[in-house]
Amino acid sequence: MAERRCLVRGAEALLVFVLLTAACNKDADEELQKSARSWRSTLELVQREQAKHSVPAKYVKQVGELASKSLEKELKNPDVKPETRREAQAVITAANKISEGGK
Amino acid sequence: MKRKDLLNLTLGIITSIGGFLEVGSMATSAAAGADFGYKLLWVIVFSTLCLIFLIEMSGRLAAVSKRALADAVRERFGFVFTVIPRLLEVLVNLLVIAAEIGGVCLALKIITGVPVAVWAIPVGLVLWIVVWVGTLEWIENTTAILGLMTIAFVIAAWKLHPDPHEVLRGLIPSRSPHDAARFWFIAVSIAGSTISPYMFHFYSSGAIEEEWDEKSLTSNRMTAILGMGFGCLMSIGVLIVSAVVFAPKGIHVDSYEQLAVVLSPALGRWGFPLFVGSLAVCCFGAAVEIALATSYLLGQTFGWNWSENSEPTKGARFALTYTAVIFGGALIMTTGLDPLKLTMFSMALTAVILPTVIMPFLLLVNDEHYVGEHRSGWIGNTVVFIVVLVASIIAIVAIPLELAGGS
Repeated sequence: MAERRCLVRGAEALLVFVLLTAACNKDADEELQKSARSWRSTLELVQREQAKHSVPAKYVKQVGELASKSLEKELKNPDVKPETRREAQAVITAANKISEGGK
Repeated sequence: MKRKDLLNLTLGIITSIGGFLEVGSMATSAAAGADFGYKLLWVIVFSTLCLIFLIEMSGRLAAVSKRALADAVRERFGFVFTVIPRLLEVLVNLLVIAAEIGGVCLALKIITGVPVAVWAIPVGLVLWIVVWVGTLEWIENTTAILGLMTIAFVIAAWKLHPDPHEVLRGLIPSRSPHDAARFWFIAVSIAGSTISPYMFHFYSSGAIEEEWDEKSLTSNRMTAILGMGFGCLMSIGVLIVSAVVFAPKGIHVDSYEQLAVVLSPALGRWGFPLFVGSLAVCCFGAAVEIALATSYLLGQTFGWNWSENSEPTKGARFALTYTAVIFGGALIMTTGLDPLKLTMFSMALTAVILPTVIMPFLLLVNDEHYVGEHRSGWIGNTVVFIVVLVASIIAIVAIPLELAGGS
């Protein structure tokens, strides 16, 4: 009986832990900063490789579209600071240019 | 060793190397390299060590007892004990095959620009035709030999001149430098993608189909050690290339499309086609193996006729299972799910269910009734027990943390 009670308490503790961890979300602003930097570097790398004719234009266009789509989705979060928003917008503009140029 | 045996052994090793890398290992190793540099190399090494023991054990069990893994588990522990873990395994297999089909579709999307959802059903159909028409040996050899193109990752890693001290330091277990939840989530995803239960079912069922006996034990051991050992180098190659190309630039792998450029800095014009080819071939090969492994698993659990080498009409339920799994996986990909996220979570889920698959298996390979004098040694038992248990516990904690943080 005591063992069963112990097991139930253990399961309850695990559940509480899982719910608590699920409740605490990462900082949206920090996440967007990271994403914007990551996509900017990706676009630079892809363009560099395109200039060396290592990757096709169709692929470069896809990366541009993906970067723009991904950042626009993250921008919908109201908790994002204005400077981060500006940084992300700049990357989106660059991504759109790339995806249009790849056509 | 006779010349024919040596040829078979070489082919077995090549098959293991070529079949090692699939969408899970590729995605998890690339994410690890991009986010944490070489810090997670040790997880690949430990998981591979565990895999070597498990593959050797599943081949030994089949060769000595003449029973495939799921067959022996049902016989030893009874149907009631077996059925729930097996159904869990089938569910995870369904997610993993969806991820593999997604990998093939993505390779096609990267070349053509046509969305993944459009490719899913045609890819599923081709996959089904291959499984329906092909024999086990043909399927295994063709996909694995084509899969050898993944050696490109090792060559690229070599050409990029990674810092040897940093690489060696990565082989020593360490804590997360930042973002612990993400670190451990990727770690268990690597473990889940390396120690995939479908591989043991596929391997032990293949051993029965190929009529292994006690004379096959040496080649079984060498295939496990050399095949999986060299196969592990491919995953290490992916991690190193990603760590050199992506990590210094702060690139996080949020999509497979980002990954497609990873080989280009090292291999120039060859990089892009080699990446796309590797992704397509490895995922296709793994999808075939998962479809068959699921059929073997259910066939052996429910006592149906099971053999890939016999006509589908002689094993209707076997054929129906792989048909359902393949088209089920393809249907999941038509919903527009993100293939990379699906891959990462299905790999972590694999780690969660590992103890339900591995623990009965460990008891069997230590049971004289099944393996006679060929029982497992304490080193193998301990390594497998600890790695599987730790991976599973970390996975249970890391999955909700990753969900909370958003991958």
